[in-house]
Amino acid sequence: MERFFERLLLLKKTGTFADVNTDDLGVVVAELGEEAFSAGERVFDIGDPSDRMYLVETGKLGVSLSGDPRTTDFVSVLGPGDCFGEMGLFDDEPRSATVHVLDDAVLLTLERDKLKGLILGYPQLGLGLLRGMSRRLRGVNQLLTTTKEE
Amino acid sequence: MGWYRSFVLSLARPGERLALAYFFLLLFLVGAGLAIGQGVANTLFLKRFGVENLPWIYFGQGVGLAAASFVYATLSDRVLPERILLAIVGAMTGLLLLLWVLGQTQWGGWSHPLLYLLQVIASEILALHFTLYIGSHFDAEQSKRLMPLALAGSQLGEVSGGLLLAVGAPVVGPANMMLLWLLTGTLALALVRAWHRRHGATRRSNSVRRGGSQWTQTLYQVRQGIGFARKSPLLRNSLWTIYFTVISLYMLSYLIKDAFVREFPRAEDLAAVFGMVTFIGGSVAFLAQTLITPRLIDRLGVRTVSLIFPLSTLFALSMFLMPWSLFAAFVGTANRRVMLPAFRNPARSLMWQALPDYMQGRVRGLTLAVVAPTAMLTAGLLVEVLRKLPGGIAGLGVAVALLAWHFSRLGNKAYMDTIVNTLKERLFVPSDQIARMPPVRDNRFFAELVLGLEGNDEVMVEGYGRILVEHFGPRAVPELLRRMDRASQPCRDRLVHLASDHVFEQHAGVWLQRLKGCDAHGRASMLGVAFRARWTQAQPHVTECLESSNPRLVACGILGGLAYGDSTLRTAALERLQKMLGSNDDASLTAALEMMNVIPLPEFRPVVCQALDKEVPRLLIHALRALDALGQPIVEAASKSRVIEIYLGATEWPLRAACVRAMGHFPHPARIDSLMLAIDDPQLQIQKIAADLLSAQGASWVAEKLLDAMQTWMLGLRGQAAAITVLADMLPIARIRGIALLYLDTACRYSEWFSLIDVTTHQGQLLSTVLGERVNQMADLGLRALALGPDRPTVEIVRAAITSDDRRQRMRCLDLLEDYADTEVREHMRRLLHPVVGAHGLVTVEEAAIALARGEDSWLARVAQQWRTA
Repeated sequence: MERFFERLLLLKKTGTFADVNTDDLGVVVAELGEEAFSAGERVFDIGDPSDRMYLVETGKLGVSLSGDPRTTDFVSVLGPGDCFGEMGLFDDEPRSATVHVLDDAVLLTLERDKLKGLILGYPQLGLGLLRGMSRRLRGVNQLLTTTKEE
Repeated sequence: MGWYRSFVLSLARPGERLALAYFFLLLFLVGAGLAIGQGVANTLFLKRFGVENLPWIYFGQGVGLAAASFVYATLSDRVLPERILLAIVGAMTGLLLLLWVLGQTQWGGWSHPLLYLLQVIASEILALHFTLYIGSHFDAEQSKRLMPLALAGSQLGEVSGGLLLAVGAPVVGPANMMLLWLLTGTLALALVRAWHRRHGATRRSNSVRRGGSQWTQTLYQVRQGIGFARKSPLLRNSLWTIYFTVISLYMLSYLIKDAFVREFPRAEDLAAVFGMVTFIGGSVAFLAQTLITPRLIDRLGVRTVSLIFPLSTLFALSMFLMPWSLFAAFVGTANRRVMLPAFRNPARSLMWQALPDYMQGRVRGLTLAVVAPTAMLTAGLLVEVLRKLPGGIAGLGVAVALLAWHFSRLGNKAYMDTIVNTLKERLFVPSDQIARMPPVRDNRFFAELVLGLEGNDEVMVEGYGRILVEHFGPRAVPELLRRMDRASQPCRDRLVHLASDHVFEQHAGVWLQRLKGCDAHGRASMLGVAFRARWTQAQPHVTECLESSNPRLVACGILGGLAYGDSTLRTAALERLQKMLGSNDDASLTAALEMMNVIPLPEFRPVVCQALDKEVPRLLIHALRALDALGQPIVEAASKSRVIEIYLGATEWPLRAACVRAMGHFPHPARIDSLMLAIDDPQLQIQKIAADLLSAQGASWVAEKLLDAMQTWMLGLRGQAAAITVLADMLPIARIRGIALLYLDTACRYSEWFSLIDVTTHQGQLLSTVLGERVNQMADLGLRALALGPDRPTVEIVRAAITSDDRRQRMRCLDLLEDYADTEVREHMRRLLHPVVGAHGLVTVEEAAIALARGEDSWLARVAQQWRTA
């Protein structure tokens, strides 16, 4: 399959972009960048400025909330199709976690300014993103309720 | 009736006018019958049993109305509205016939109390049911607009019935007037049957309930109503007001009837009096509702108007403490016949609008099933106890009316609290929606808004300012000006814009005083308003502006120089404008072009066209707007191609919007071609501008061109959606239905193919994802087109169900479609809700993919091609 379509499908499977129509998602794919990381590197550290989101194309990454760069205590492990750092696209808060590269990885990136331009140009894209975020928020609310009940 | 016809034509859509005429006629017949029935039933009962037995009727009314309301509430959600109507009118007519026959026998007297109860209960239940019945024929928005027009039929019927009774009763006797009531009922029955035989059944709402005990659900709704009343002081006080008002009205009614029976001993005369008061009262109420009530509400506010009826009831009851009982009876009748429909009912409806819709429905049910019957029982008891005591009923009636007045006042306060409590939500409501809210001209509301204006959060300040201006107009201006003194420059500018449409020369002094605190931008905004309105006091500022070094102020000065008509100022302004337009400074050129949006000057058009060569977006926006304001055709090839170039390259949507407005001045065929490009714009506002401009062309070849572009996918999905709305203005509804069917057919075909795709491969997942989207998109376009026709409510329900994951909703929707008259469309909608594989002949996914890859939809074709290469 063409690389363009592979990326489109990858993007469509993420929670953030799942509700954006594929017609509109095509313009997002065109704006994606690509960054390769070797095992042992860090994608970003806690406190770094949030200027882009990442989508794992290949490889394995660990998310840590500890300031220690040698930590192996990961709150989650990410693989192909997982998305991270997307909240930074919508607020100006610095990174709240450190992401360690566990296996060599290729990450697709979308810069905040590019996404902003896309939303202004394609308002439907913004609505799709809001739907996705809203769905995730509902999921978190549900989780909180379940946890509270337990 | 010419005004009524033109009113109807302005509000009703073409498909709705016949239905409106039907409702008008039906309500006329029912209204006339009930008016006759009321007079006849009162006369016969009072003459046979005397006024002293009226309290027992009040008891019967209370019990009968509560029972009938419960039965009605139980059936109304599960039986078609026309069947309920036929049942009510049929039962009423059948009983009438029975009672009339009974009246001819020796036991005839016993028919009179039953006739009285029948008339009272039937009129209450019919009044409630007509709202539901009429509403089921129109969508919610149209229903609200058309309901008063349909209900005017009832009012006219009431007046006519009153007149017929006044004239007919002395001639044929009140008992025989029953036959006329019987006739109107029979005619109404025949009309309803004929209408539904020709036009089919009404749609059932999507809230049709299935299973479960209906009695339990009805009781649950009543409990919900009580729950709402506990939480909402507005509801609580309104219900107390209704309770005491009903008691006071029944006490008043007893006194009136007592006076009439004593004064008019012959049954014929009594019936004629009842007929005459109905005729005169109905006519006066109709005139008051049309000419006085809206003006009074607008001038005094809902709160003041809502107190008129409690006070008039108090006055009417206190008249019975005086010796002139007949005069008091006529005053009391005027209170019931004129003041109640003219002032109390409209005021209450407006006040209840402050509550959510779901709450209003529950509370109306609660009123009819619980509050009013309880009040009737109480009234019966009080009258029975007090009737032998001279002045007892009137005295206690005055006390009860005072309680009604007291709770009305409390309700008024609660109404304002409700309005103020929801104010924060309304701060962020768009301006056009605020304009649709009923005006609340109330001092407390004004004070709350002014208080909000004093806050420090300038976003909120602007919100409060917006509502203040929408509800109070010029009265808001001094408050906005006062707030400007301590506002930041941007906020100050926004307040100026808010006030600008409501400021008059009387404000000139205070307006111009504020100039001192403003920066150049603010000064230009304020002086712009003053110059456009040509305030004399502002004229000296023109020269000062023209000599300024700030481009915006200079442009404002030019505006003033051209507006006042002073030749010296005009010459100076034109010189300055020429200089600015020739300037290399972008800020000066932008300000001059912005000024030309307000006063377009054809002699400077070449300079405006030249400005299009610049690259500064703000400057380009004003140059394009100036071209639009000039209104002349843009024939120069260079200008045309530059406008299109700017449009294609612009990322800012206001710039693209300005381009599209300029495209509207291109000559044919460039105009249509460029507008068709713009109708596909991702920005909705731009699509709308292009669609409006295309609609204005009106030519059939434009419609054909749009159709062709839709079929060949020259227009994307957004463009196709916008094109459907344009075509709705150009093509007959049958053609729009044809377009809808094409989309629905495509959606059904895609839906079948979608179910065949193997999603274990990446290519399969991709095709499945894109095809799944297309099913919904095609169905949406088809239903969007259908929604432009007369079946909008049903279509909207189907539209929601198709995209819903809730299987129950889809099943309910299938159930709803059973009543859908257009069989071809119905079948398509059914297949979308419940796909059938193989209906289109293709049975393999390979064949489907080939068909898709060869199709006009380039995106889908590309994806299908990917699948085939796997």
